[in-house]
Amino acid sequence: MDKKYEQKELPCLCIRSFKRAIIHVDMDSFFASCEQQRDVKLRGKPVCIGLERGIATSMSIEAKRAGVTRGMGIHDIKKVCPECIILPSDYETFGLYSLRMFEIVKRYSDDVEEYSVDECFADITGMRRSLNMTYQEIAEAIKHDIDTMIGTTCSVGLAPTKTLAKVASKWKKPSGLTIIPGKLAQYFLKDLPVGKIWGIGEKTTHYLQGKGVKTALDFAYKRLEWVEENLYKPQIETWYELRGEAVKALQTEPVDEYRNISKRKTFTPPSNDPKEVFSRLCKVIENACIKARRFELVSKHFSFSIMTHNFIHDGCEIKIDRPIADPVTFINYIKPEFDRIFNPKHFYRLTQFNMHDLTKDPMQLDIFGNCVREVKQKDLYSVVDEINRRFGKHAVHLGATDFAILDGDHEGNRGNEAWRKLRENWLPGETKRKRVNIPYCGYVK
Amino acid sequence: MRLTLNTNFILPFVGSMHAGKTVGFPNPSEEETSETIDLADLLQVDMYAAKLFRVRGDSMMEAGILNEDILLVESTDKWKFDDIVIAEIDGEETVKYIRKRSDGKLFLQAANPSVHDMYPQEYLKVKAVVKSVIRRYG
Repeated sequence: MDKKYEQKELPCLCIRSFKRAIIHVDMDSFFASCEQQRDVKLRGKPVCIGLERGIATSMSIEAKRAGVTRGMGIHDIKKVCPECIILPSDYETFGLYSLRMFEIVKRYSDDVEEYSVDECFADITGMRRSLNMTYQEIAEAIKHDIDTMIGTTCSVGLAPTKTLAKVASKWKKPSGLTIIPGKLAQYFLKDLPVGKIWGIGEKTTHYLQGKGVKTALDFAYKRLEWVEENLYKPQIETWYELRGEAVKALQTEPVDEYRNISKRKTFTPPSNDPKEVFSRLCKVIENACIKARRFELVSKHFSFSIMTHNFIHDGCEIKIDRPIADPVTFINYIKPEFDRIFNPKHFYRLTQFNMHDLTKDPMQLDIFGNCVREVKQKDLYSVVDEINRRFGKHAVHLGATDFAILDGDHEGNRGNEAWRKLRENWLPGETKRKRVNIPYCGYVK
Repeated sequence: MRLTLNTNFILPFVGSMHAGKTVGFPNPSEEETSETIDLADLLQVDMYAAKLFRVRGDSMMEAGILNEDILLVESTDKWKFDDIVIAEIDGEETVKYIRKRSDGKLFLQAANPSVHDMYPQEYLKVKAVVKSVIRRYG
């Protein structure tokens, strides 16, 4: 490999091959692959996940080849690929496989960043001696273990920095293993458009292109003075990383706390009835509060929005003086703003509610005695949560939410169909919230 | 919410029992906590490679695998001949013994005399090794 590249002789960006050794693991078509390995009949066929949402959130290789793209609506999927199998998302099972991937990687390194549900970084610097393996062998072993133990393939990149490891894992997909030693980084960057680099957004891409920087290598060859003069810290870090200098640390502490909670719901048909839309808004507020209470989080900065059927968002951001997680209070603050914003000439199809800057529930006293009411509310909601846990979500709900609950959220039976399909994958005794912690793969003869 | 994969479903291990014969139970509360054993260790299964299947039919009857039994399997490529495995054969998944014929050819064998041996037309791939059978009564 070295010889082929060295013939072209591009100047090196970095003199050492592995000052650090970072691995990036990226699962191939993760959700769709999970389903394909659960059911042998799905293997080799175009499969999309996202039936309950009405859009494709993950596509199998076969579906991608047929032209299905992420975010495509079911109607369009049927058009471009009539034989495509569309399945609902079984997040519990995907979550189990995701945790497995992290745990398998953690067998080779303690420094693992769980970057997303289907991606992680691992720092294996200095592990050669303790594992008695070369960096390449460690990367191969991780890939082998994930491929056999999970049953779906992954793409692995090994490089001296996170940014280069990302380039490496994308180099050959699916099921690739690419190694980018610092000394050879230039050959991997010379044809890579600058906008494809991890951490370079759309605006920066336009800006850099305006300055004549087309490829990742053009960017990496720029002088430090130029970079510092023209760009900000995150892009300067990316520049270092492309040159083989690891400056982006791995976030190895799992992010246990939510900083924001966001709940949204799309409904059909769109409505111009203020009562109905407000009821649907109340439901997402209630959902967000249920989640917040589960993690004992409160917020004093929140926002809501409603979207018309032609995708125009309207909403409002509200800050109050005392953090809460109580839907009635939120609704009281939101109602006047909703009435101001709502326009009966428009048909609305989405409601959204966000809680920002969440903090741990401190139970602070305030001089106006609000705390007394709050403790009572908390008692109330712990009872509500318990009832809902036993009898199903929204068994007890606010009167304002009534319409949204009784009506269901979707016209037709897409939601029901998704549920029916999900239930087929349960063992007797499993419920929506109680699943066995080992993936169940159905019947064998 | 983070999903947790609880790999240590620990059962107190209270000595072996003989069916039909009363054996004195040691009082579990007197035992040290180190006297518990991880079920995954007992079954020698790597929980991060474990999967469950359910059985349809009685082709493995004589191996003690009955209709509707739950199989605890381990996805691995380290299987041995004569293991009970989950194998993909010509686009179908099945639970059988994996055997090698004297001429080196691989085939799947049922534990039921009325079921024929299965030879692959196109391909045969072992996906997992069966580690344990779970059966619910009542």
